[in-house]
Amino acid sequence: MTEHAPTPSDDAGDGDAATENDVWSRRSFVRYLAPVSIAIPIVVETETLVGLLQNDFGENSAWTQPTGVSVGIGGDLRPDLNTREKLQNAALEAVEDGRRLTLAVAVRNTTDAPYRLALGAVTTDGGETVEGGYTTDPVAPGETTSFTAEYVLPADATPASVETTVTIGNQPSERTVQLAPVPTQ
Amino acid sequence: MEIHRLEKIWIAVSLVFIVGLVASIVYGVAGMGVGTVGDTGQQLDPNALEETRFADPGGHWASDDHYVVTVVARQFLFQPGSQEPVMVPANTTVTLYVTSPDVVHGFDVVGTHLNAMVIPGQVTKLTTEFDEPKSYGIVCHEYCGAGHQSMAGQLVVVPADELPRNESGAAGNTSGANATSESATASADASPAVAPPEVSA
Amino acid sequence: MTYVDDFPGEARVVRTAFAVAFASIGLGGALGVLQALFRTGYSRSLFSAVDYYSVLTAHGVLMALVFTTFFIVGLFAWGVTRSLDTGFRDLRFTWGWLALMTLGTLLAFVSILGGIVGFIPTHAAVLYTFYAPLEASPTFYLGLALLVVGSWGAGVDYVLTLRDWRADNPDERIPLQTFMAVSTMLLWFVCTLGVAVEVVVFLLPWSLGLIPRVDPLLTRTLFWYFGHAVVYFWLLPAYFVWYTIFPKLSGGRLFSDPLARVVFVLFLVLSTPVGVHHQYGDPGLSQGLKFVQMTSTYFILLPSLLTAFTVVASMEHGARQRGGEGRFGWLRALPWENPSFSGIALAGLAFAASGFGGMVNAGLNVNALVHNTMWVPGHFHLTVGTAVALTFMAITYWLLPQLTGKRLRLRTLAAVQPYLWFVGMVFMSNAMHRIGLAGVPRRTSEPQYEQVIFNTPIASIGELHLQTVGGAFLLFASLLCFLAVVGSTWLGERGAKPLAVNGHIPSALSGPEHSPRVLDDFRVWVALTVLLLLIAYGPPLAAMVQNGLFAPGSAPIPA
Repeated sequence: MTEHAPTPSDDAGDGDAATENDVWSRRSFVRYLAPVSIAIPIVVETETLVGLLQNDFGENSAWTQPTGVSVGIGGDLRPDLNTREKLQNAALEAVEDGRRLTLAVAVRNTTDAPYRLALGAVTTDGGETVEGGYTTDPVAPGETTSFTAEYVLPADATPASVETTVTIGNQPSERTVQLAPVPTQ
Repeated sequence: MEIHRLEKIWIAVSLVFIVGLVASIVYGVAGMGVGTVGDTGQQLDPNALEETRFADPGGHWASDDHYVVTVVARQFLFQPGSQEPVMVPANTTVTLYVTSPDVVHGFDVVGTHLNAMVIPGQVTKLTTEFDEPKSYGIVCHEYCGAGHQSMAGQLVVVPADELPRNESGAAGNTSGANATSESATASADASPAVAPPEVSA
Repeated sequence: MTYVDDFPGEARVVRTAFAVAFASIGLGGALGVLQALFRTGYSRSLFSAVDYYSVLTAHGVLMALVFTTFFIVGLFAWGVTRSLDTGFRDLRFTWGWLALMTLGTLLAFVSILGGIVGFIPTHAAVLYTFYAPLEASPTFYLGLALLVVGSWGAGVDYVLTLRDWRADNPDERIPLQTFMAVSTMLLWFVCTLGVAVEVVVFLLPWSLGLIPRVDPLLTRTLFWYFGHAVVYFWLLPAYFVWYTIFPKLSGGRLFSDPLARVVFVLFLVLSTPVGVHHQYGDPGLSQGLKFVQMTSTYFILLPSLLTAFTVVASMEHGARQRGGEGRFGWLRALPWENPSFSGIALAGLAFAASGFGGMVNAGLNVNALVHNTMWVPGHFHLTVGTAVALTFMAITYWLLPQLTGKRLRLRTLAAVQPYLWFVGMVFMSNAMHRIGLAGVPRRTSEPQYEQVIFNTPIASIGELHLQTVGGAFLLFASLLCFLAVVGSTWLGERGAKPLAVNGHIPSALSGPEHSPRVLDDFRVWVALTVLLLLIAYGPPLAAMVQNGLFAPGSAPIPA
């Protein structure tokens, strides 16, 4: 250490500091705040880091899942699969006993196995489940088909999500698909 | 001027650290090819987009393996993007050109490194390749006025053969000389917008 | 003798500047809580989603521009006159610049208020970056211009005082505090030039209708010429405290005076040619330019890393003087009950953490992960919002008695306050960083979209929003403690008991006599700064004005 002989006035300076701190030393309970306060960020940040690493490298990593966007007109209902399930049209229409939701879907079987798509119940923004849907006939490899599913929702409800089941060969794959806002006609 | 031995070590370690940081970015840019938005050298009059490639925004095939999308970001929507999704092919080089006729906007495809500013008078050029069909959200992340919080859209990656290939030159009407009067507003029709071929600037 | 008795006139100036600073942190802090409640969706009844942007503008302007600038000119006024042991040349000039700054602040604030309050015919919901072509009322730009011009007056005042002192003491080294204050103000002169040109040449006449159009990219680049250097204008006064006062509070002395000077010179030279790292996502600027400025950005880590060494070394030295022992055991010997000490120590800790976040922001391509997401305000709430603001609050507990001659009151509240701030910011900033990693944008009143769902790592957005609001309330509680201590001390009587603090600052272990004299020659450093600026900003600015100063041009769009 590059020590330089302190001058007398420097010593006085150190003495000052001691007096200044004396005023505070009675509040010794505050002393315990320091280790606790410094431990909090260590815990919070370690937890964050471990979580991020698990996310990146662990199983069920959030990054490997498709980004959870809602599907609107023109969108792919099942972007997680290589097959194509395009939401061709979606519309809400006022009817006598509520609102009729129409979902028009075009599918293409891009796999080598028989394929079928089933639309199941729709869940409204209020959390109600509305039964209904449509199941396609088996679609041969390379073939396409399209269909329209209808649901009758309560008058003040808007659709939030729809259940989908894609069966390729004998392998069913289910997923709840969030729907983007559907235009009212 | 004397410097303490420990401090000399600290300075040396700091310098190595700084050089290491710069080197890691150089590796990312040169080795992995991940850069950022650059200068396209193109400027345009934000008040006269109808005379540019942004007259009729949307996507089209520029060549067999290159898909180009023009997007107009305006208060408070992306065209296309907000009222109809931006459709792009998977496993294909995709170039997005984005500009603004009004104020500064942001263009962030959430969950990707496509994240840039959109500045009136300038053209933001983003090139990428999506390796699988997937849907992404787009948000405007620069404050752009009273409706900023509602400015968002969607980008949908589909298999390449689902995007129609128009004949080159079939609708070559975007050059400044013969601007069309066609409105640039997005149609309610959900089919992917097919824009005329790109006119090199 | 205390400062208030030695320099009663100057003490009044400092107190007045501090009063404006504390009023604006109180008001700005309250707006910050309202904003956090709105954004997270806990309470959206007090104002609308559109008014949110006026509230946000006010929060940013009051905290980042007004609180900081007023505190800094006050702190430096104290530091320069104390360390030179001489008053200002003419207090009328001093009061003049302070009045100008205050007038500018009022004008800007009222302009913003007009966006919410119907009877004031102004609007300024343009946020504190005021990017054209979003346009505010001319009074907003005028107010900001007056604030900056007033602060230039402060710089002139310090430099003139130093010149007088040098004439009387031709052979002495410039005292460290004055050296730091003057180099910071020189940095301020250099960097505010950009924003002054932006506002005075372009935005103000444009908002008045005198010129029809401005070039959005040019004005934006001029803004960022200023926009990153300004953070060093906030940070360096905190370093001024860390270098010159903190060692004494720890019970020891500064490690090295020459290295402290080197650090400030490095900041003066390096801190302006880095602004383009805020524009990595901008079209119209080449990747080469962005790369060059990224390199200088990373090199500006060096003076901060040097500071980290000095701060920790001074702390250890002080602790050992106080009888501390062991490899880490000395930490226990430090005066953790003294809020001036603990506030600065915690501020330093927050700054070390946020430095790593800053390295992410500065990466040319890595930046795309976080650019304009909630990560960014998470970052600067740790830097300017904690490293700087907590240092300013901490040193107020030490300065205020010397400025008023009154003993500090409500000491228990004062002792707890820095811990509350620190823990509150840990929670809030951690949540903001994590929300940003999911891609949630900053600067939006309602960060939820029908077409986009954000995948937050680990916790849900809802949990992170709760954490944000919890942190914000802790911060506000801390702020109220601070204002209560300041208020009751200020309004209290001047008692007969001696103050527990004095302005004596022990000399450094390694003094300035061991450093080359050229360090004190500001002309050399300013010349080098200007040279680097010409290299960094000359080509891009020349390219932008080549096709006309106002093209491609945009007409005003009122916000």
